[in-house]
Amino acid sequence: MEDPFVALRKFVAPEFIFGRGAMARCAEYAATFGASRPLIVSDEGVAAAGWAGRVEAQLQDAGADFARFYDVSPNPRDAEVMAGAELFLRERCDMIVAVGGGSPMDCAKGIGAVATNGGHVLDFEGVDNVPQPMPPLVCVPTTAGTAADLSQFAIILDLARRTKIAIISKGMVPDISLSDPETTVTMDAELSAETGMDALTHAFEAYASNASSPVTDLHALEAVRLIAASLPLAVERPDDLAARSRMMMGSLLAGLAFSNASLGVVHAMAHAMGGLLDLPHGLCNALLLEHAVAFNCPAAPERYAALGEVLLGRPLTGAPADEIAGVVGEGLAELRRRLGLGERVQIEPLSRRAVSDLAAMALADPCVVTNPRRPEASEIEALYAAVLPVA
Amino acid sequence: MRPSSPSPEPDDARAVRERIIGLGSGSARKSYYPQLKEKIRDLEAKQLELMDTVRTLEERESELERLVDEKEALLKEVHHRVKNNFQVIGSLLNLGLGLAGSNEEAAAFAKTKRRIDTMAMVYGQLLAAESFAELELCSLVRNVVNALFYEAELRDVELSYDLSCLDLHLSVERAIPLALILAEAASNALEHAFPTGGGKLAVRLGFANDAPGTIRLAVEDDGPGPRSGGLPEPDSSLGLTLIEALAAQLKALWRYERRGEGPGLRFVLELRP
Ligand SMILES: [Fe+2]
Repeated sequence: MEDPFVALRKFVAPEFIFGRGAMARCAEYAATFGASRPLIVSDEGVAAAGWAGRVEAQLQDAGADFARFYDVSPNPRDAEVMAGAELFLRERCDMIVAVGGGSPMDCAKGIGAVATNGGHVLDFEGVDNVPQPMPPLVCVPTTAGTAADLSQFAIILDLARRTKIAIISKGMVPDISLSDPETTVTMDAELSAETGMDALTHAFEAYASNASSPVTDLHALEAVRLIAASLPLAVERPDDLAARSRMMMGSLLAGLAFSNASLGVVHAMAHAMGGLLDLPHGLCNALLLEHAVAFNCPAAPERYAALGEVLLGRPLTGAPADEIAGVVGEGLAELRRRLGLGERVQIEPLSRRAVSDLAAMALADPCVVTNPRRPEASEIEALYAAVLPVA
Repeated sequence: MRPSSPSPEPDDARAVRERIIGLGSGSARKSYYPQLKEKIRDLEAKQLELMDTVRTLEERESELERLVDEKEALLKEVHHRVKNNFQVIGSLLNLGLGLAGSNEEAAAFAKTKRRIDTMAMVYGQLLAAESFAELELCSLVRNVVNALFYEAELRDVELSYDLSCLDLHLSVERAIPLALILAEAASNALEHAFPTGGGKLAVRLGFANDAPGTIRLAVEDDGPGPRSGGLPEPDSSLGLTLIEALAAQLKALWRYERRGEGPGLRFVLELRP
């Protein structure tokens, strides 16, 4: 393998403002981008927590006219994107402000792509399939996990096929992220745990990715360190701003890492499974991660050793692969249990046919190409069987 | 659901991976500059196109103006010729008048000449006003009656007008019959109503009080009235036959009536809208 310090690489990142009060910069950026009518994209939960209203008030105080689109489901659907794009064009908007977790942010990215390019959001599936850049997009994340505010990824639920599609394009990188840790204190324990495990999975998969680089490694490992130390605290003491801020920074760093190194089999499988069963993305990741580590570890033991050392704070470098896999897997399982996320998905058993369809979809997901080990369909099915009941 | 597919070929996977990490072609970070340049180019092209359209429209407008001017000049020329022809006919009739064998013949020539003169006058008014579609009704009435009145040389007859239809216009097609009818009625009065050489002749024009939109034209005298005692009937002379025919053309009603108070006769023409 080529020396990673010699290999040609690029690092793509948006501007971001991080820290308490970041959100208040929203109106300023609307002016910076010359917007006369932003579209605020959010969802009912975020609106109920008051964050969408906060952005509205800021825009109002600045004298900006705006439109709002809050009809976004937890797994944003293609039809919702199309409805939002229709609203954007009808209301003659010229900028998007996404307020919320991954769902409103991914939906906002889809809306932007459709608004400038026309066509259907599903046309942009795959890598670099968004020809024209979208209108300026300002993201105000209110969870510490998805990092859609930093990444080139947008995940949209294709309701007809009941699967999630990935739109991966440099044009999907927002213009600025206003990461304000205070917005995350309103998350309940479950959402905090699930989104936090999503962030941890981003760091793990980016670090283990066959497209990792020295710059992404730096971000990924620091993300693991912050998340391991702060996630249980953030879940157990929701108002602990220090823990919430560290979680949000962990999410940001993991986002920068995975946006550039991409992900792996966990996300490929989580997209297929979350789409079919409409499950929270973070929960899918949390359940799958330890099993994927066991599967991947033989292909990149030194990578998992480094991750494990940061996660558990004990030396693992040089240990045999199965020992590394065991230790890291147990560490992840312990964290999962502490967060109260359960062992398996509680649903009616799936048919073998359904599981093989899921595996086929996971194998077709672009995230699978950067997994350190190339999985066979049967191996994916076995990984699914570890978290899903199969008839 | 998507059909089962094998895991991606390593070559494909490598290409996808290259593009994800931003080293594939066309995977540059988003930039508005090319789009802006394109938009500006588009707008400039559109502006040129619009300026071209404006130029074409301006050219077409001046072309149309030129055509209208030309048409107006032609129309004026036609009316001139019509008026000249009437004058030629008038001269011919004058000639006939001189050669007439009897007084009766001479009178017939004179009446025909008067009718021709009335028509020539309508065209004269048309040319003077430089508007070839419509005539102002009040001036028409004055012009027709004045010409006949001064020709009749009845110095002791007092002529008065009561015209209350300001700004009323008639098309040439309606103005000529109306002028001829008025001329017949006024001539009748001038010829028969003032045997002593004195009296009053009044011409009234206005909207009828009892029929909205109807224009009422009246010529009234204070003479002794017809010798027979009855009122003039349509077929009693060429003049009245002419009035009957022209009124029918205008779909107008006409009648002679006695004035309510004292002696005299009133000719009334009612022109419906
Ligand atoms: Fe994720």
